[in-house]
Amino acid sequence: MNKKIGFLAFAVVFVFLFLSAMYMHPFGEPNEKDMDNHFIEKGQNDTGANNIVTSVVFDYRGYDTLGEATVLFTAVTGVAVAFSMAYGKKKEMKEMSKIVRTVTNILYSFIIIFGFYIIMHGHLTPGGGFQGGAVVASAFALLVISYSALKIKGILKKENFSVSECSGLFAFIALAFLGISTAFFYNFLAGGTVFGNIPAGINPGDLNTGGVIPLMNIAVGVEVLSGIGLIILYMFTYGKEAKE
Amino acid sequence: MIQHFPFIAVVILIGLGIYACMFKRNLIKIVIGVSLIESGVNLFLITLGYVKGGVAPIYTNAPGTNMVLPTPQALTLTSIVIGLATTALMLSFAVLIYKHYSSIDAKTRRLKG
Amino acid sequence: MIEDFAQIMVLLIIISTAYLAIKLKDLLGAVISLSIMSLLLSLEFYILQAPDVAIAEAGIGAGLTTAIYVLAIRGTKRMEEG
Repeated sequence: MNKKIGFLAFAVVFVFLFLSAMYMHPFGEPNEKDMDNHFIEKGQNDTGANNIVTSVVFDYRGYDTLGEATVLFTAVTGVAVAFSMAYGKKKEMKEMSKIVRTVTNILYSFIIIFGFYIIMHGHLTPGGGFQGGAVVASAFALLVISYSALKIKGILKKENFSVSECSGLFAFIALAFLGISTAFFYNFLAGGTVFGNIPAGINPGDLNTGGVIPLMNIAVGVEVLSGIGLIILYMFTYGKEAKE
Repeated sequence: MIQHFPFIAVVILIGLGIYACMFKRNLIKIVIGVSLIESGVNLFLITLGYVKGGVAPIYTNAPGTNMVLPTPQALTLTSIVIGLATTALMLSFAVLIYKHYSSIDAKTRRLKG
Repeated sequence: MIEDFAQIMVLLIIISTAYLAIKLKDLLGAVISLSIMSLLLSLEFYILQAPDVAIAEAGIGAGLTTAIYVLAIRGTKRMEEG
């Protein structure tokens, strides 16, 4: 009886979604474009960044990015609390074969450098703090998986990651508060001397532009890489004793 | 009908996700269902902002100035990171439930304490 | 013309891998199918002229989410019963 009511409710919701998909605007011709036309025409002059999406994320709608950084921080705290209850003795874990360890030795420094390149050039090419932080966290996951977690305990410590995550979030909030004389999240470095040039039109991209956006990219990148590194370390060292 | 096809693909993805959330009993299958709903919503946001014949909204060596809308891309970036955060938290709860109750079924036991 | 054909093919494979992800009883196979869906979704984002979102989805969805799922399956059972 309950299953029949469940199927009926699911069918009603699915038909409603399908009918509303047929009544959407034709694919490729959106209706209201006034706000986005303003961002495309005046974004380069106001903020000084070539990448309009990064300027929308960090300058025009920076308050949403503050909420996103807070949600990531809260999730890392929740995982740490869930796995910190006493779990008993740890079992011995095996490490991977010699081919995997050799390839890891060569590759992991290049992945970390590539991740920092993506973080640093966020205002010129596609990229930014979140994407680069995810790439560097993948390098940490590669290290933890190919050597057993007991050997990595001396190199990647949980306390170092915790300190760098808190300092990254604190630097992001401090940069948002520094322009408070005009507005919260005001870009007070555009037009100045440090990261201050303002480009015009289609140009090859100069690193000295963007105002306060490259500094915010670095702060968010440090926070994301240490937060996701912490999640992977906690789940790797504590997940195995659940089986007897 | 062909010109609405991305929107129909979004509806099918969200429908599969809701089916997995409602009618599956394993906890990890339920988390896979939530992840499918989030992927469907991200695809819908990017499809809303597409302009036919437009290029990516970046001025560095751009091939033209008829650009797609940048605001839905910013919202989708936030949504992807929040999806990762909620998936990590839900999976850590699933591991904790298995440790305490030795069963990963969603219907056999009422959680105590 | 060729972009329309590529877009329809990628969307069809996304739908079929999503269906496989909820039908397989081996949980490790379901998670690998979810990872393939995430990679093809990143390709679809690139076809729709959104390179920022494509990098984020490839790095976070196809890499880190799959790693966290496999670590969670390691702490619980592998096969779904019933």
